[in-house]
Amino acid sequence: MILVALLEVNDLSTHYFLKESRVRAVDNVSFTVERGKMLGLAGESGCGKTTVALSIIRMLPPAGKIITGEILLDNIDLLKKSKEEMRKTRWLDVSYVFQYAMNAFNPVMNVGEQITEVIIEKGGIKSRSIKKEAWKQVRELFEIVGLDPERVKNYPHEFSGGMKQRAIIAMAMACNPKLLIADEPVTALDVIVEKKILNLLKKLQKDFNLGVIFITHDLSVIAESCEEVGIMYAGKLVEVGSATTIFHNGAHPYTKMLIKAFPSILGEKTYIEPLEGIPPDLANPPTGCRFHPRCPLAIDECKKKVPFFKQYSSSRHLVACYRAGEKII
Amino acid sequence: MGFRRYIIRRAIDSIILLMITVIFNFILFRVMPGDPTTAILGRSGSPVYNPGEYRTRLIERFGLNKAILPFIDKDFQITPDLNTLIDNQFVVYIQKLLVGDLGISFNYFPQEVSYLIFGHRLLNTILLMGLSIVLSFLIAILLGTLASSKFKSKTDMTLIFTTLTSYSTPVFWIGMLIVFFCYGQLGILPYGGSPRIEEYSDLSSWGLDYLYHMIGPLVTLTISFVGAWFLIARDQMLGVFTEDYITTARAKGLKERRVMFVHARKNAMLPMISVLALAMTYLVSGATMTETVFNWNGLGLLTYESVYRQDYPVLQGLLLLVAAVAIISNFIADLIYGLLDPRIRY
Amino acid sequence: MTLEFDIDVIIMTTSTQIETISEYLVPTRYLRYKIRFKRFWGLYTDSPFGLIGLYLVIFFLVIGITPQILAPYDPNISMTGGRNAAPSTAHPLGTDRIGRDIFSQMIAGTQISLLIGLTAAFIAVIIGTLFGIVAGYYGGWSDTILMRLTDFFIQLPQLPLMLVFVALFGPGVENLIIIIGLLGWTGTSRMVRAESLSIKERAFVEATRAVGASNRHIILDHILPNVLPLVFANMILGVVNAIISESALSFLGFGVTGQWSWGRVLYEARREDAMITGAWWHFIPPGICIMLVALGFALISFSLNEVLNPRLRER
Ligand SMILES: Nc1ncnc2c1ncn2[C@@H]1O[C@H](COP(=O)(O)OP(=O)(O)OP(=O)(O)O)[C@@H](O)[C@H]1O
Ligand code: SF4
Ligand SMILES: [Mg+2]
Repeated sequence: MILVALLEVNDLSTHYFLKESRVRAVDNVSFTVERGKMLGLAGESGCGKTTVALSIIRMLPPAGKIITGEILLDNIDLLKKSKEEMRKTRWLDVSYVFQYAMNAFNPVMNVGEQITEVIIEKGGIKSRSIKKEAWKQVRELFEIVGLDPERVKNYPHEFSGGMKQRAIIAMAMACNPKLLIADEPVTALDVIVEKKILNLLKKLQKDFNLGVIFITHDLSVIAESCEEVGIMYAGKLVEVGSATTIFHNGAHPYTKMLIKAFPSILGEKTYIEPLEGIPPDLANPPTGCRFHPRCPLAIDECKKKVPFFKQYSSSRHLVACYRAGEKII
Repeated sequence: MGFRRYIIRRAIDSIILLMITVIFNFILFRVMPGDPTTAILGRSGSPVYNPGEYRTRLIERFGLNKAILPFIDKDFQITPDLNTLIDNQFVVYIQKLLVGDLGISFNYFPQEVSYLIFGHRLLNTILLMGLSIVLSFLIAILLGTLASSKFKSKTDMTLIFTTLTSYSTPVFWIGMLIVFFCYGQLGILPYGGSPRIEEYSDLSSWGLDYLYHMIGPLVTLTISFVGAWFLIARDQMLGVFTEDYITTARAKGLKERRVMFVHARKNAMLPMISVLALAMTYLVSGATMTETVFNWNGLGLLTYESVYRQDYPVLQGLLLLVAAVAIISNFIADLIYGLLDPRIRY
Repeated sequence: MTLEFDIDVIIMTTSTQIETISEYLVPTRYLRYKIRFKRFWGLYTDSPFGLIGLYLVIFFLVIGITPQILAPYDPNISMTGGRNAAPSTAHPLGTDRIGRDIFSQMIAGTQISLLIGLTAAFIAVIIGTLFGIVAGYYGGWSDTILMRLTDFFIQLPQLPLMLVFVALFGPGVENLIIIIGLLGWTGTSRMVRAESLSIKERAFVEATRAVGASNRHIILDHILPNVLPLVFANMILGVVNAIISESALSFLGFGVTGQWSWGRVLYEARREDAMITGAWWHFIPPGICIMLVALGFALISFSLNEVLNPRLRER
């Protein structure tokens, strides 16, 4: 039996059109997300992680345009949907936790209200009983994410950062979505709260068979919780594979260097090797492999031709590099 | 709860401010060089027919021969006299104020200041200003929303340029243009004035004529107010549209109508409330310039007259009224703020 | 290479962040200022408003500086050409009721209108900046009191207040400047307070204090340079208010006596009922001048705000 993946992103390119330049924020990116699996998307700041995520729910800022690609959710192309159909899909099928989630709640409405409004909207019909039902659901959701159900009528500012994050997750789960996109959901939190929120996400993902795209630039977080990992560099996906493959058998030079920069991941005591240099300007990316100006293994070919994204050690491990797997001296 | 404490604190603030205003108002009209009575009556062109009588009445009524404040005599010298503790002008002033006595006008002698202010003039001003404030407020919000939803488009730019122009145009000159074109050239509007109900046989004919006379000043004021408020409204809407919770609301797949009117508007309205509170002061200050151009007999015109004739008692009364309304409307705005925005209720 | 990258980052960030970034990446101070100015100019001329405003203001400034050269007659002397005359080649804007040349009055009036507008706005901004920095930087009681005062003054309608002061202290150039200046500081003070509050919190000030820098040093070296652009934008807007206030007071007859200003020309026009007699040349040109000069300053202020206001920049 052939199982269709929950989400299949094929050859996605998203560019920002500015007054005098065109920022190639995402170029020919392909990956899949399975039901009940968590895909971690990592890479330096500005490499296009958020742009990929926003492309999926089609909420790009006005300058951003999707140039090519398919985004298949349950085999239906989201890019072919009309605006109105897309609006209906949002939150019902795909929910999203934004990068600066702390301000995701409207300060002048209470938290419960903001969750019920989406339940009612997605439920379709409006009636008093539905409203009551929605409030009941919110209480249950609060319980699920570990918040006191008595506080559903609190205002956002009455919650602490961690509680707010739980409430946001409750809101994201409100309509039982198939896919949850979480853009750096824990960056603003302290380590202990971060851990708790991660555990919560993990539990929800298992209990509800949820597909999750987890965006972060902290590889150690990914190592702890994701089954699959994608590494992005300068608008390109350079390597995907299962977490174990990537962390123990990472083939792309950038992946290796990134892992070295997070020595705690493998539990070894090594020197921290910060990445040298800065990522390129995406309005004017380097030719060929975009990593070549910083790559210790770069050869002439790297500057001329873009390396294909192809299978490496297994059918689910893909790398875009001419010298994949070679040792960096 | 928190809200109650917040309101009580703001109420106390307002009361303190009110008291300071009263004191300031008292002192302001007494720092003029010399004895207030001579300062008033000594000026040339005094329209008071009987200065002697006026003077006696003034001194008697306001105790102008008493010390000004405790330990400060009427020539602003420090005195050790213990009697001045209670027996001074300030105490008399407060006593009079508490019973609503603002003194006697000097231009309209022997009419009472309170009679001059709280009569048909106040009504004229409130009607004119109220109408133009409501009208301008609606137009400004409408245009502001339109412009911000089409940020940097041709519509946006045109609206900005037009309103900046009206912001830069002196309001009285707009009035002069209207008089010139609509009265002088076309003859479709009256020259000016504000019809008094006593001069009409029935209410409806007065009402119609009143509104007819109001068109000129109303249009003038509306043009000028919209010029002042449009950019504020636009800026507020723009600010709200970039907020994260609006993005979230959109990502939730809510209908655009709900995003605009429930999520965005509630927040954009907050700062506009303070603008409206500011406008409340105009309700009683009147529009001096517009009322003067159109001879609209309101408090603005009264202000002009009083300055022209140096009618200090009336000016003092007007100033006090305006300050009081300012403080009270500010307090009410804070109250509404507290009701709408839960973050404030600490 | 580094340089280009720098500029691109800038497009995405707010002005204050830019400074820090470029400070790290660009070697010399001269280059830094050059880049900053280029960037500023680019943003400033993003819409045509900024340039239009600049041209308008320069045009009137030139007239204001050289009235003796441009005015064909002495604005105070009755002409032989007749009274209440319509425009002619000799008198482009006609003459008034005692035969004085209106065009010359307008030229002469440019100077006083601009002078009062600029100086009053300057005074207002100085007071506002002072109050704002004291309130924002020192905080505590001074903050509470100053801000309550600001709130209160913002609430008071300016014109009636100005009129009361004129009634008490009399007209005259100095009085007018002081009165308009004294009542126009509120906006600046609020803004400067907010700004110095945020700068105070910023890391570099913390660091400066840690090495034992004095308050004076922090205010002069860190807060002032950072609020100056905003203060400047506010001052430009203050000029609009001051010019209009001056014209209003002069129009009511409480302006400067013995000197011409546009407001006074309008005052004379109204005294002669020019709107009813149809003598448009007497009151339309001065009104247009006030409007254009004020619009010039308003456009400059608007464009500056576009550059400086981080909220607008983020889009
Ligand atoms: N609205 C926009 N207009 C123009 N360019 C943009 C816009 N948003 C993002 N970019 C550019 O697109 C590129 C990718 O940005 P994106 O936000 O997707 O990065 P990211 O990987 O999410 O970074 P971070 O970890 O900092 O969130 C960056 O180079 C950025 O400068
Ligand atoms: S393709 Fe070449 S430049 Fe790119 S990562 Fe591989 S070796 Fe380095
Ligand atoms: Mg991001």
